[in-house]
Amino acid sequence: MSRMQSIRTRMLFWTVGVSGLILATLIAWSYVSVRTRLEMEMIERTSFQAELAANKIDRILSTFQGVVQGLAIALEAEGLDISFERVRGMQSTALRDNPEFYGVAVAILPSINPGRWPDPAPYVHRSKGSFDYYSLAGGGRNYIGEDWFSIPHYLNKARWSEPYLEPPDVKMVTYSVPIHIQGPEGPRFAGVVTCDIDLGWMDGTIADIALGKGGYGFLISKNGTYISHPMKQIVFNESVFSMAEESRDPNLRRIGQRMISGVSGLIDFMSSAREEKSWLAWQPLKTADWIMGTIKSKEELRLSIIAQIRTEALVGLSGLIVLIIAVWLVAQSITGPVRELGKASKILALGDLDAMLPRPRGRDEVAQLTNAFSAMRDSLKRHIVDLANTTAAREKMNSELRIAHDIQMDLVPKTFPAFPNRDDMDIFAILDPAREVGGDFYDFFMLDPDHIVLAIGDVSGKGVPAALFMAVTRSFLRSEFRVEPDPGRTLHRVNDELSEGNDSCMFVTLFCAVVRLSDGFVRYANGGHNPPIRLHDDGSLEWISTPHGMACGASSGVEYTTGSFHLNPAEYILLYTDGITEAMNPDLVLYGEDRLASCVLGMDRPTCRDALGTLMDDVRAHAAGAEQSDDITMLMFRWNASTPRGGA
Amino acid sequence: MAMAMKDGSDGTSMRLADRRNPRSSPVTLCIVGMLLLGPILSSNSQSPGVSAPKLPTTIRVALQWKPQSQFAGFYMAKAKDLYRAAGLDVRLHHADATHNSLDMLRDGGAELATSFLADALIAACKNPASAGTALPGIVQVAQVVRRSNLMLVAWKDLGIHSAADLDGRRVSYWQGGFSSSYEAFFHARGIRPLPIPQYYSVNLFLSRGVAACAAMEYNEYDRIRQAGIDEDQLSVFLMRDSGLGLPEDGIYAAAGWMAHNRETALAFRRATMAGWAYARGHVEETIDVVLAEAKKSGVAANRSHERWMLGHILASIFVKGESPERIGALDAVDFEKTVDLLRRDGLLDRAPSLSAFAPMQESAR
Repeated sequence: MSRMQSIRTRMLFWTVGVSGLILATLIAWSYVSVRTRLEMEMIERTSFQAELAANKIDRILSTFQGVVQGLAIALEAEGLDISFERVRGMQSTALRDNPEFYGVAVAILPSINPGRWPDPAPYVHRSKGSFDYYSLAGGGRNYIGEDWFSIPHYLNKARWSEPYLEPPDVKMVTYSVPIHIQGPEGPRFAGVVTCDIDLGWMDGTIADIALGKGGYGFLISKNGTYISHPMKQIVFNESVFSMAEESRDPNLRRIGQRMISGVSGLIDFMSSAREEKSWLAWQPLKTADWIMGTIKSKEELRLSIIAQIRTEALVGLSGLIVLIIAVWLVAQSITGPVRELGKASKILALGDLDAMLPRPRGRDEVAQLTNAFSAMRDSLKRHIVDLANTTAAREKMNSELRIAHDIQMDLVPKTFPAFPNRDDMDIFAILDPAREVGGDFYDFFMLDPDHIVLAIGDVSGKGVPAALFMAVTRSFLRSEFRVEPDPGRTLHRVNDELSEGNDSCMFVTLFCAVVRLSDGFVRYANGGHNPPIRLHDDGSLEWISTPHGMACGASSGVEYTTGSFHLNPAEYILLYTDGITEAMNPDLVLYGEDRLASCVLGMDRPTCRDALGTLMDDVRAHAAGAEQSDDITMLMFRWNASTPRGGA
Repeated sequence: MAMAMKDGSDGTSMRLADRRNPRSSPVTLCIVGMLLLGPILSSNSQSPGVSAPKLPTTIRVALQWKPQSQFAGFYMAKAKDLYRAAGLDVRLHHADATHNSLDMLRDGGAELATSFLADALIAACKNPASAGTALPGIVQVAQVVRRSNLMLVAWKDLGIHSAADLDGRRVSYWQGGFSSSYEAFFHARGIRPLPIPQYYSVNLFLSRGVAACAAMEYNEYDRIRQAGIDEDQLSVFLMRDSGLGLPEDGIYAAAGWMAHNRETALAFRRATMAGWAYARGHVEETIDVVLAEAKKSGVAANRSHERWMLGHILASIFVKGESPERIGALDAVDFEKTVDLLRRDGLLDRAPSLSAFAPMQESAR
């Protein structure tokens, strides 16, 4: 038995195979669904966090805006008609109340300076724990072309400047709010209030965004310049566009242009520097013209999926292993007893019916099989004992039948030539029973040296009863011929003898003839037997069909007529039983009297032995191997008149 | 500190601007004018004798702005020991918003300074030392950048497609020497834009506060590009295309110092031009040096911008189709044109002769 053919292996193979397949399908399905879900989550988170960080920065910046705008409103409300000391006081208050403020300036167009101010551009700033003042117009400086002045001036609105780095490493930004005063033609630009703000808190705020491994937040100005980025060396040095140019990445330039367009967005992004697939989301601030960007690496998505799938796979595999063990144990509980049963049955097959069978456990199919096996063995044992007895009985019977056969054969004369010292006749006979013993018989014997009796009979039925009846018939026939050698009278007496006490209602057909050897005169009588054949010396054939009586033994008192004829020299008489004419071939076609006649006619003065041999061969040829159903008995006699008489 | 702070805020913008001497405002020029440095400088200069000293001559050079590719030739001459080979120990100093390079020349902070030709001419003639004479207070050692990079950049989406469209629109540009070119440009086109003073940044332009702004092709123009603006969004007017381009960066010395240090000046000129030649042959190496200089000074810089700047500066020094011997020389025609423009604009009332202003023309050749 190959390994694959073992039940246990097949159970394991199929269980593990099918479960493994299901598991793999589940994991694949899970991969797809988890991937989709996580991807959507991460995309949302990327956008959300850009928005969140932008809002956070906006919140802080708008607080500052409020303060500076408050200052501007206060100055505008007074039409700038306030004392220089009060302006200075307002500047100091703003600094004191807002720790992130580094300096506050109020700068008025020189042409508008109320005149009472000694300085059109007072600047108050922190310095070693206190506040210092100096004039932005001092030393011949002209501030009207500075960004912080000219941009709010010409745009006529409050502006956050591009952030800048104050040596050594302080990120600053300036917020400028224009101040207007009422002129004859309505409000007109008079100057600005500015505030320099330390952005030290901003990097921390951006670094706090949780974007996972490989993800980060960054901030760019309206010009695309990096204001905050995890790579410190590019902050203030590079813009998205300079990076795009350096890496020859026109796509990055287009992305940069979308980012500074003032609309939020989200795209798949492949950084040319890091060669890592990511999502990039951006959100413009509402206060400054800056853009908050978030990058989330897709690698993290991959890792998350792998982590989740790995857990699922581990759980699944553990389950599979438990399943394997369970299946193995179940298979073992089935195949173990079956295998033991197999071993035991091999021993049984070798004939050892006393081999131990495995003890059945439980009431399952295997236990039932074991019980059935046990019952079969017991039955087999009994059967074998019976068979031995039966065989012994049959052997005995066979042997007895063999003996009976021998005895029956001994009842008929079977030594040929029967009369070696007489050449006035030729005689030969064959008795071939269908079984060990049969009901046919033939007989011949000399009544005196000139008379020979020829007889043939066929007892109804077959086997031992027929054989016994035949033996009885033969004995009666022999003894009755001694009483009176007339064939008719002999048959009459034999019939009476046989019918007396014939409870089994058996009967026998009988033909007997007495041949006077001196002249070939034949007397005969027929008790229900097939008509014998007389073969004339001219080669013609005659059926001796009359007289014909009824079979002997059925009822007593039957008279039989004796017929007679003269044999010419070298004429034959053939006696036979219906075993010849009723011999059947496999197609159940009878041999028949016609074929018998033609066979006999085809012979050219043979000896009786040769003639019967030829006839027997022809019958066998006809039977063509079909089983012999009836006894075959033939007797042939030829009278040779030319031969001088001699004693038997 | 507060001063620095305010400048710092400009400094951001300066990052976008910085090509030029920001302090050529009239106020500054007055201060410059009050300084008379010729004699002082000559006394400062070492070994007036021409005999080749064994010890290298120390020269302080004031470059007119913060480190960038505009000065790559100087950096490379120093980095490649070309100055040392010429017997010079050169110390490079960078001017900034508060320290004008020509001021440094005159107040003894430097022996040599770089400046635009127009600014140098104005400064030379306002020198009281030259008052009443035709002798300039400042003389030229070399005219390094011989081709003009000056331009106006305008927004197409604000309707500027030709110079005529600038009429009546806000246009910001630098005061001082360059204003002459722009004003001549406007005059030639018969237009009268609304002038807005421009300092170091183009942020006002990027915020669309003005329809056009001044730019150097090698600097501001690329800064605008690096702010995500595509070239096809801009209308560009190069002054040189209108015949109004003036030579730009040159090397200058006080006339008094020059009188005693011609050989040193000549050696410096040759070594510097060799430095430029080296930069021309080794662009990436040069940019590395420039970026290192910028980093050392805490100046924002990036490689692509410095590459752009170097390419344009080199093309303006080694002008295509001109004979090599003219490299570093001030063209008589250009000189006349500059004087003419400044004079017409009232920035110059009298002018020195070319030979007085650029006494080394012949010897350099």
